[in-house]
Amino acid sequence: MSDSGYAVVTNRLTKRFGKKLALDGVSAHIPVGSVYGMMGPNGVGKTTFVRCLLNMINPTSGSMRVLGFDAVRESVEVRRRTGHVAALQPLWEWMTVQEFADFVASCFPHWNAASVSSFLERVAIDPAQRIGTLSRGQRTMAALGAAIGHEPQLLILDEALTGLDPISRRDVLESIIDVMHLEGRTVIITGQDIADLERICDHIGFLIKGKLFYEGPLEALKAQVKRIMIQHPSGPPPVIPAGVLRVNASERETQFTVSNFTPELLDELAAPGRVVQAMEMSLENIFVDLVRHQLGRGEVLPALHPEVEVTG
Amino acid sequence: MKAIFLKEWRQGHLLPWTGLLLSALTMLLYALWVTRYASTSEEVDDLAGYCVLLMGMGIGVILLVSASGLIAAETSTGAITYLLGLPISRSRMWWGKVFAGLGLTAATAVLLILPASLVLPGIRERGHFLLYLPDMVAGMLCVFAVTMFCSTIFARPLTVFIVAPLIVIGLSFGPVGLVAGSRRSLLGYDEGMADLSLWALVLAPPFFLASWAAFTRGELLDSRRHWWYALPVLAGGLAVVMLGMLSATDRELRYRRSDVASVSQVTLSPGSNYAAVLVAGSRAAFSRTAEQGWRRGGKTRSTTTVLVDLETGGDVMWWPGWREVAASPDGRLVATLGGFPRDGSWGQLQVQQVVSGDVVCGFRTSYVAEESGWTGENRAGTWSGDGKWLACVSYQDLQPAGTPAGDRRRQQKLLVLRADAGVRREVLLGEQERISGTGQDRQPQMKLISPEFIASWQWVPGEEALYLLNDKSELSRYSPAEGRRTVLWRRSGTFARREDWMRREMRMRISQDGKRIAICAPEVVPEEQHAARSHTWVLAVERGRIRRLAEFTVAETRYVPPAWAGDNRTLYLGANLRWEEGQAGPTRVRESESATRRSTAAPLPFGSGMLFSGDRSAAKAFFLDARGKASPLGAIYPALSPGGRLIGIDVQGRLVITTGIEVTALDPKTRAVSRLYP
Repeated sequence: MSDSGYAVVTNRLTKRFGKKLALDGVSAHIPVGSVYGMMGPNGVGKTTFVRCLLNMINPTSGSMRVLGFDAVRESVEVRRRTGHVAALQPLWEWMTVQEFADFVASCFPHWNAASVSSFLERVAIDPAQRIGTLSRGQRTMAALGAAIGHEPQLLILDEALTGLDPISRRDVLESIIDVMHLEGRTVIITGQDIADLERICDHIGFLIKGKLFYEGPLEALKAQVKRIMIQHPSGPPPVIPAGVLRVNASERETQFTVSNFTPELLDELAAPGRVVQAMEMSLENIFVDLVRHQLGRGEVLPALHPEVEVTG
Repeated sequence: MKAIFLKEWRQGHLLPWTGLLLSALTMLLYALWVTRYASTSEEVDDLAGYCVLLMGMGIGVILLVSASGLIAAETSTGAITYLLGLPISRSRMWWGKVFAGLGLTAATAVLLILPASLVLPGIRERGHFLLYLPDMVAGMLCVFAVTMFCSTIFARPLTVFIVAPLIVIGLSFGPVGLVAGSRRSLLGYDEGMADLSLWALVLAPPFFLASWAAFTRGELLDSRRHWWYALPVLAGGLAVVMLGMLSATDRELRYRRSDVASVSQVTLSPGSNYAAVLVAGSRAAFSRTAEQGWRRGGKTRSTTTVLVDLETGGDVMWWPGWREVAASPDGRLVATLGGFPRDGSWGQLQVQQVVSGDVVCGFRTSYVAEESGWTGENRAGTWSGDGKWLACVSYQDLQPAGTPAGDRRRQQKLLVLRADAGVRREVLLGEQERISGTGQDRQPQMKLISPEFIASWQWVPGEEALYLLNDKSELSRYSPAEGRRTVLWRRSGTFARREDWMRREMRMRISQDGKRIAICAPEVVPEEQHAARSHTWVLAVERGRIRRLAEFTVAETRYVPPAWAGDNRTLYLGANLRWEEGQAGPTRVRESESATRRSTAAPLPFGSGMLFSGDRSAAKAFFLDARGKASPLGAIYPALSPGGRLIGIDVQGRLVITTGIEVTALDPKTRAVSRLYP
C-alpha cells in the first residue's frame, strides 16, 4: 500500500493555471502513520496540492503516488481509501445529516456506521437535522463524520478547522488523533493555525509560492532551527554567521535565527564577556522566520528525508 | 453510478409531482373552457390540442429545470468538490446524473400526460397524439443533451436555463437550417416531423459527448480546462453530423433531379411479367393534363405506351395515344385511356388483350382534367381482384341553355365493366352545377344537384364488390354481379363541415384485410385553401365505428390518398409539409385500437403498401417493406404490382423496376439496365 513507508510521495509535482504557477515542482514525502501539517500563507497552493492528490485536478507535470496507487490512473482506488474534508465544505443543504451520511456510505464498499454515529454524538449533531440548518462549524463536523465512516487510511483535512470554535476545534482534533493516528493511519492537515498544527502534527511541510521549501519531522525542524541569543554588554557585537534567517541586534544583545543549528555553533560564537544561548522556537516563530527569509531569498532548505523516486 | 442516480433522484423527486399538478391544471382549464368553446365554431378537439400544446411546453420547462441544475447547481454551491472526492469515477457520476435527469423528466412527462390522456376526451379519441411520442422523445433528448452540455460548462443553473434554449434555437437556424434551407430533403422522403426528430436525434450525441468529455476530462475546479474539451468535441461532433447529413442529402438528389420529368405513369402486369409504360419517344412524356404535356419544338407530342418485357427489356408492343393504363391482375387484359384531343383519343376507354392487342370492349368517357383534380387514382380504371370487373369514373360537362358562359352542369357516372364480356353497368349518376363566380377573383362555386356524388370507390379485397363513399358520408357496397347496392354505414353529418368544392377529393383506402377503411376528408372553403384541414378517419367496417386519427392541412396531404401497410394497422399519410417546394414525405399513423391489435396474426406481405405523395409536379414514391419501413424510390408516380412484389416508377424516361429497396433502371429505348438504389 505504501512506497517505502510513505503514504504520499510526489515527484516534482507541478500545476499551472494558465500563467499562474500554483505548484512548482513539489516533491513531498508523507510517512505512513504521520500527522502531516502542510503550512503556508494563503494562495500558495495547499488546496491545489490536495486536489492533485485526489485527482480532482490533473497535474501539469510530475507524478504522485498515494497509498501505493498512482494518483492519476488509480484515483478511484485512492479516493476509496481516503477521507477528505475541505474548508467550509459546501454540502447538499436539502439533505439531513443522516441522509448525507447514507449517501456517502453508498459510495464506499465498507462503512462503519457506528463510528459515524459516535462522532456525530460526540460533536452534538442531530442526524435528523437538515444540513441547511447547521452552522458552518457543524457542517464541517458533519463532513468530518462522513469522512471517517469508511475508516480511511488517509484523511485529508484541507483547511477544515477553519470556522470551528476553539472547543470544537480541539474536540475534532482529538477525535481525529484518536481515530486515525493511534490506528496507524495517516492524516494530512493544511491550514494556517500553526498552534493547532504544532500540537498534533509530527511532520510538517512549508509551502511557499508553490514550492515546498521545507519538509520533515517537526522535532527535527525544531532541533535544526534555533534562536541564538548573544548578550555582549561590554564587548563588540558578534559576527553573524552566514545563512541566518533573521537578525535582531541592539547595543548589548544580538539575536538571530539559524536554520542549521549544531552545538558546535555555540562554541564558535562563545567569547569572553558574552553569554550565548540557543533558544527553542515555537513552530509559529520558525514558520514566520522561514517564510520571511524565503520570500526574501527564494532558497529551499535541504530536505531532511531520503530521496524517494516515484515510479509508475 | 447508482449512488449518484439515487441522490439526484432524491434531490428532484418533487419534480414529477409538478407534472401531476400541471396535468390537473390543464384538465381544470379544459373543464372551464369546454362549455364556452362549444358555443363557438371551433371544434372541441382543437381545445384538446391546445391542452396538449400546453402540456408539451410544461414538459419542456420541467426538462430544462431538471437538467440545468444537474452539474451547474453543484458547481455553483461548491458541493462538486465533495462529490469529486468520492470514490466514483467521473464517467459513472456523469451517467448517474444523465439517467437521473432523464428518469425525472420521463416520470414527470408520464404523470403529466397520462391523467390528461385518460380524462380529456379529445386526447383520448385522437390517439395519434401518443403516436408522436417517439418524436417528442427525440426532441426532449436533444434539449436535454444541450442543457446537460451547458450545465457542464457553465457554473450557474440560471445561465444554463437561459443559454440552453438559445442554443437549441441557434441550432434550428444553424446546422438544421443549412440543410433544410437548401430546400433539400434530408432523407429524401420526409421533411416533416420525422426529419425534425432525426435532426434531434443526431444532434444530441455531440452535445452528450462534449458534456461527457468536459466532465470527465476537464477539471471543473479552479480552471477553464473543461472548455478545452467541451468546445472541440462539440465542434467535431457537429461537423461529423453535418457531413453525414449533407452526404445523405446528396445521395437523394439524384432522385430529386428526376423531378424535371413530367408526371407519367407505370402500370405493371406481373402475371405475364410484362410492364407497360407511357413514353413519348424514349422519354417520360406528359402530365395528366393535356395542357401540361411534354412539349418539344413547340409541339405537343403524342404519347406511346410500350409494353416491356422485364426480363429482356425488349419492347413487346407499342400503342400510340394512350394516356393511362391499368393492367388486370392476371396480366391478360389492359385498360387504357386516351388523353389527347388532337388524335381523337380523348376520353376513349378500351380494354384489350395484352398479347394479341385485340380490343375486348371500349367506349368514350369524358372528364375535365383541370377540375377533376389529381386523386392518385388511375383513370383508366381499377380492376377487381379477380380481374373480371373494371370500375372507372366518367364525367360529362353540360352547358345548360340560357346560362352564363362558364356555368356548367357536371354529371358523374361510375361505370363498372364486365371486361371479358364488354358489359357495362352505370352505377350512379351524380350531378353538380358549377356557377361562375361573381367576385373579383371569379372563383366558381359548385352546387350539388343530384342526391349524392361519389367521392371515392374501391374494390373490396377478395370480393366482386365495390365500396362506395359518397359526399354525404355514406358507405355503401355495390355488387356488379347482383346489380344491387346496400348502404353499410352512415355517418351523422358529413366529414367536411362546410360545403365545399373539394368534397370529391375525399378518399378512402381499404386495409388489405378489408376490415377497416381509412377516409381522408378535406375541409375547406374556396377562399381559404391554404388554411384548409384534412381529417383522416378510420372506419371499422364490421362494427361500424369510426374515429378520427389525424389532422393535417390540405397543403400537407395535398390530394394524396393514404396507404395501408400490410399489417392492416399502419396507415401512411402523404404529409407534404413543404408542398409548395415540391417536397413530400409520409407521416406514419398507427392505429392503437385494441380490436386492431387482435387481428394481426397474418404475416406481413413484402412490399405490401405504397404511398403516393406529393403534388402534381413532384410526387415521390415510397416502398414499404415487410416491417412497414418506408424507403424512398423515385420522383414520380409509382405503381405497385397486384402481388405486392414489384414496383415500377419512371425516372427521366426510364422504367425503373424494383423489388424491395433495390432499384434497377431499365431504359426501354436502349434496353440498358443500371442500378439506381442503393
